[in-house]
Amino acid sequence: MKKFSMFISMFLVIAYLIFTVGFANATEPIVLAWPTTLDFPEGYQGRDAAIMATEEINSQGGVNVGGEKRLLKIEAINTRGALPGVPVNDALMAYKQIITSKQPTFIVGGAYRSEVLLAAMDYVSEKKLIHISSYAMTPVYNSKILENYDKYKYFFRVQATAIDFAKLYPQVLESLSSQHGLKSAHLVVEDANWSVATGKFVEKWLNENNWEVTGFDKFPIGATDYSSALNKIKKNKADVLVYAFSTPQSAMLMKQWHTMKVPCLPVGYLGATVGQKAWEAYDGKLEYVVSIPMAIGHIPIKAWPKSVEFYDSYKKRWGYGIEGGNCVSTSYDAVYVVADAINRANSLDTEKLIKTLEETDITGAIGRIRFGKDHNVIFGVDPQIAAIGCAFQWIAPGKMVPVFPASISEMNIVLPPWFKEK
Amino acid sequence: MDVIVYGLVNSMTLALMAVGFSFVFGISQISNFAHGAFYVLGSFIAWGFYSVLGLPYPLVVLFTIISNGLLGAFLFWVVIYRLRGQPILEVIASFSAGIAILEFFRWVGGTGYFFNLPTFFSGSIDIGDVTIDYQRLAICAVAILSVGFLTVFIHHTKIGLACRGMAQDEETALCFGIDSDQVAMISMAIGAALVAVATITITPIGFISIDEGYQVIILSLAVCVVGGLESIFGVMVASLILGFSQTIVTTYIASNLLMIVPLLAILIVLAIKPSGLFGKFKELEERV
Repeated sequence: MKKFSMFISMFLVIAYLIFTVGFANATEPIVLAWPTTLDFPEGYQGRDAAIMATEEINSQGGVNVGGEKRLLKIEAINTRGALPGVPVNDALMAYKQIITSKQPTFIVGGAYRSEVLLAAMDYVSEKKLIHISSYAMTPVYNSKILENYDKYKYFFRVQATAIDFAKLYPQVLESLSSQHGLKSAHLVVEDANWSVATGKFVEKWLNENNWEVTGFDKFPIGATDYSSALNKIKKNKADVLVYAFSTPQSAMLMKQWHTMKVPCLPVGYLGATVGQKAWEAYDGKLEYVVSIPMAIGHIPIKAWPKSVEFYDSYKKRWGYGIEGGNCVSTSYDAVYVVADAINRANSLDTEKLIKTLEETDITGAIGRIRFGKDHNVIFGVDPQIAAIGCAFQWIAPGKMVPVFPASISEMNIVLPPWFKEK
Repeated sequence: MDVIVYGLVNSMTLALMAVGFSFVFGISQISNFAHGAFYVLGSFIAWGFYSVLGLPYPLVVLFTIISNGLLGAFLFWVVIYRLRGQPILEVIASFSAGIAILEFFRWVGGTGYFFNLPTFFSGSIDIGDVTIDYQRLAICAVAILSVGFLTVFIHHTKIGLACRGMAQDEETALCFGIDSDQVAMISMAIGAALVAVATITITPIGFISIDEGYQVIILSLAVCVVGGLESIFGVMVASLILGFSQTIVTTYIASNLLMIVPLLAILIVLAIKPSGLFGKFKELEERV
């Protein structure tokens, strides 16, 4: 009797293990951890775009892993790393928390700010987790991969680097110069690593290409009065206001520019100038502003239907349009990159996945997605060949019209009527 | 010319932000370091009345001022009342409450350019070769009116005199039948109402920003420390000094030194004349 009881007990334990642990592993979704700053539209809309991508993939049955279909699941956590005054260490704690608690197979999206992303690399590589960034843009991320491939091979990026992005500026300025003969610029940037580096890159290009640089102003994150810079631009008669900001409150720069009727054309990136609600929020004071979202998809580009499809799907799914100026379309495509890699590897083995990721060649909302040796998506000027950024101009009543590159442009850049008062 | 015009606008903006804090902390001696949080709270209340409930804007202004005032009184009874007479604890408790309010708004997603308030007037005017929008002129006008109102209030009304009496000597004030707790509560309410006036006037030139709550308390403290805690005239003079200093520094030295100016001013004044330029009754180190 005693032996029989023991046999029954062992049978029950084994049955429990098979039916819970064994089957649970087979049906549990593949977790994609999403640790980023969720306080800005770029942050939470990027996450929402990723969730939309997983829903689309899951509606087709999910991904193939060893002959079985498995679903994808996003688990997000707010690192708050992009907020002023939040130390990098606090943001890293969120990374560690989600890795420990959710046991993800991938980290996607990743830190919003470069400082946090770079700090997380060592921890993530120790865990041998594949990390596909779609937010931060520091080129140091890629140079670390190139310099120490064995340690950092797990890291990929579906996003422009600050250099790719910064290169857009001279391309747009060249286009502007050829259309209107403009040749002087004043730079106004946010006092953060990425924006100052972008500003310095552009300043160097301007100096090397016979443009007059009338000034370079840096404003602290959260500044709300830009009159000192705008008055200098007026005084020095600069043709172009080259700007680079990420925080919503820096949108006051555009409001002040328009109100003061400063006779120059703003060209640059400011996340809060993208999205239909921006037009309403600014009372139309965005008219003539040229904005450079870092990747297409944030505005629908007729010449690239996938961007229109993504843009419309997002609005349908979430009930409102894309308001973030960056990171939303890249986040969406990052999930498809993961799904494609898993399907081709037919496995969750890390080494196999790294190989299939390196061989990625798919079309996404941002254009054609392929990785370079530095594990960054290759950016270019034709979406048939590479991922692309673009520039658009706000035209009344509230239209975002692409003006660069030529492969997707719908009109020439227009100067504001008060520009002639120079 | 642009330095003069925008320096003046910047000065009046500082005065408008600081006048409520000066009344509560400087004149009534209540440490309300949630002043910046009330600035942001007022703007969200106004946004709610206007954008969510769709009320006419004059009513929005009235209701916001009243609501903020009531919430100021509420904060007094919930947080500060129990700690009265212990200034350090009042500072810690009110500052903590302020941070909690600001971070609450951040947690519920109160960031983005869609949180904005309408301007009183749209359009701009040229003063010489400087273009300035009407809203900034409104800030100057409202700042002067607020300071004027406060001056009349503290010198010519019973409650204002009671606030000053309580600040000078609470025990003697009690002997004269002044209920110091009630007066303190009214003082907090008025301070919160004044900062609501500030936010309704200043916020429309940009957007509602939670981080501005932290800046407002630093700037208000700087104005009060430089001007002298008990002096309304000091608030105006300090605002002019700091406002023009900020404008000159950002125009001619570096734009990213904007917030260094008030912090440096606090250090210099505390080192040289702790009671401030026009402080009358007590040295600052006895007060905090």
